[in-house]
Amino acid sequence: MRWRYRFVLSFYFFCFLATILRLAHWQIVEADTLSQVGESQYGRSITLTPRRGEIMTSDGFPIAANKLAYLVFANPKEVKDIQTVSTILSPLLNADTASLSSLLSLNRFWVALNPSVSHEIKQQVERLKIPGVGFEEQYVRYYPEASVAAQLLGFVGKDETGNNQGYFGLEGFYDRQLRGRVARAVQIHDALGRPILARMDETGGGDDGRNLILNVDRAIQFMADEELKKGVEKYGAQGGMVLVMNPKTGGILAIASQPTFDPRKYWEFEEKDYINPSVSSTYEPGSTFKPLVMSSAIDAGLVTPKTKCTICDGPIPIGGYEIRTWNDKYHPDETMMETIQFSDNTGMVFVGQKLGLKLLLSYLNKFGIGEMTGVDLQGEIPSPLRDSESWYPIDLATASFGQGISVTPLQLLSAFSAIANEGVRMEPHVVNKIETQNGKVITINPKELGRPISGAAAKVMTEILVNAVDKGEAKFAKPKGYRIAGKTGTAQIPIGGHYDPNKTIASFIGFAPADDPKFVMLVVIDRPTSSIFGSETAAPIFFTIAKKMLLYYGVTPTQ
Amino acid sequence: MKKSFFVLSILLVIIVVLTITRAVVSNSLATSGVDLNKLSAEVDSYQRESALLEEKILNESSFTNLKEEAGRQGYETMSSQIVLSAPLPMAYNK
Repeated sequence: MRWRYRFVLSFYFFCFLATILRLAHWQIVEADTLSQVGESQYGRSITLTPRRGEIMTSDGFPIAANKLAYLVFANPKEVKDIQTVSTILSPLLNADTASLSSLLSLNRFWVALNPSVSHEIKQQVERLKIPGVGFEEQYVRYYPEASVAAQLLGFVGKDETGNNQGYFGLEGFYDRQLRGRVARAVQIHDALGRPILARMDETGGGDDGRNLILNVDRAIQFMADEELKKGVEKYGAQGGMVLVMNPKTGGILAIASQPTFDPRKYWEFEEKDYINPSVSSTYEPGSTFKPLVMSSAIDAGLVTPKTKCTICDGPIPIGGYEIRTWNDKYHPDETMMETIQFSDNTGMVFVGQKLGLKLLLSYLNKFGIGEMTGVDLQGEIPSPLRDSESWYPIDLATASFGQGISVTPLQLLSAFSAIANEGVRMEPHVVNKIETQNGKVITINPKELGRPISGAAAKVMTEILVNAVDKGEAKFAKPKGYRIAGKTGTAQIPIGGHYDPNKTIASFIGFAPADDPKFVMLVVIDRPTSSIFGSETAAPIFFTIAKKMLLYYGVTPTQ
Repeated sequence: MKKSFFVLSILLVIIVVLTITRAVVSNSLATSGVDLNKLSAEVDSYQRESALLEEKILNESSFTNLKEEAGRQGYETMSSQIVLSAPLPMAYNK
């Protein structure tokens, strides 16, 4: 009897063992194969498009954000009356009836009728209940301040594969940080298409884009854009720029350019409008270059504010040319203080000759002239200085008053800011922080590029520039009660080997308050027609913005 | 005999309990997809509403819009400031 019992027990035991082994085979050995078969039958692969990071000004306002939009598509095989549907949809989708009609006549299952419509338009189309018409939700780039800071921001277009890509400005320079990483996921559905598992397998890791927090101050940027636009119109100019920077940190507070474009409709503008002239174009700076040369000579101990010019009693002949003052007035024995006050080219030739070519080039190199500033904007171009061997005496003379030498506006501002910052030059930077989606913040610390001049030389040059503003040709535009350091510039434009006497680049560069600068600013007006002089065009714009900024910063008048 | 019967009974009870448990769990999971769908749709709806409201807020609070609105309401640019207290001098003249 016992053997029967053992036989049955063993039989059941082996049955269970066989079952377990079979289960182990299907669930462990063949797991991947079965899983793939299941996914292919019931799985749906989803592409998780990352949200592009926002670009925010220093107050946290997103000047480049994302908004909800809809791609309107249709299945032409489900659309019955193509002509009627095209006529109804044409005004809503802002497309002509013929284009819509031709799309709906295609022998396809899916056609895009409009790549991006607003929520309101989507609701209006939805209410029409047109069979075959559907919507795909997506996020598109959006600029709440319209054209403000357009060249600084750049825009988001498409690359060859149809994916979003940033071009120019910050969108271009920081595209990899902003775009994030695409993720792919598989979700299992039942026969009715409903998900039957709560978990979603991500086969490719993804991340939303990172946010950029700028040094740019929204209020200052808006002021700069507004005043520049008014100024360009008022003075009948071809264009202009305003650059504002914090000299102590190198943080860019504003960059405005005219003409500008609307990044929301970038395709309606020409490519030349996208370029940021602050970093991508060069010009001869004229008299705004004089403070760099003068401060170099002061730092080298070659001149003081009271040093008298011994060659300033008339035009100076050099190499077959004659160096004249801008108004053909001469001041024998003028001091260096007066040289800047009168913006006297002959006085600057005196300073340049004191320095000599080698020392001048050495100081310009320390000021960063001829090199890229390293600013985080796409499109910065270098403007290298010629080799010293190719310089003639006339070149030394003209360079000392800012002609015959080319700089980008940001290069000049960065160099000049050393005077405002006790001789220390800081690297210009637009972005202050980068914020990841999980809250980690990467701060970009201010970077010192060098000390072209001593603190003492910077202080002396500051007083010379304050005197130039108080007593120079721009004194009538200066706001009362503030000590502002600055210099006008009226540079002739080289055309076909000579200088055009009627067309100029008018500019003004300065900082305020002179004793504890909150900002350094450059205003450039391209070919003004109402007046060719910087003192009558760029200077008033500078002082208008400066006055508003001093109020904004709560700086009380000290005079 | 009694011992083996006892072991068999225990095994049988375990099998029955596990079978019933599996049936109950499968049954509750079967409808989780419907709930998941509803939750997912609700989350999408809230995200959509949040995005639309965020766009509205950005539009309303942009300086471009505020300037237009201020102009419509009659605000003007301040042409000068009033200083209530000036900084104290470092030294006086006697």
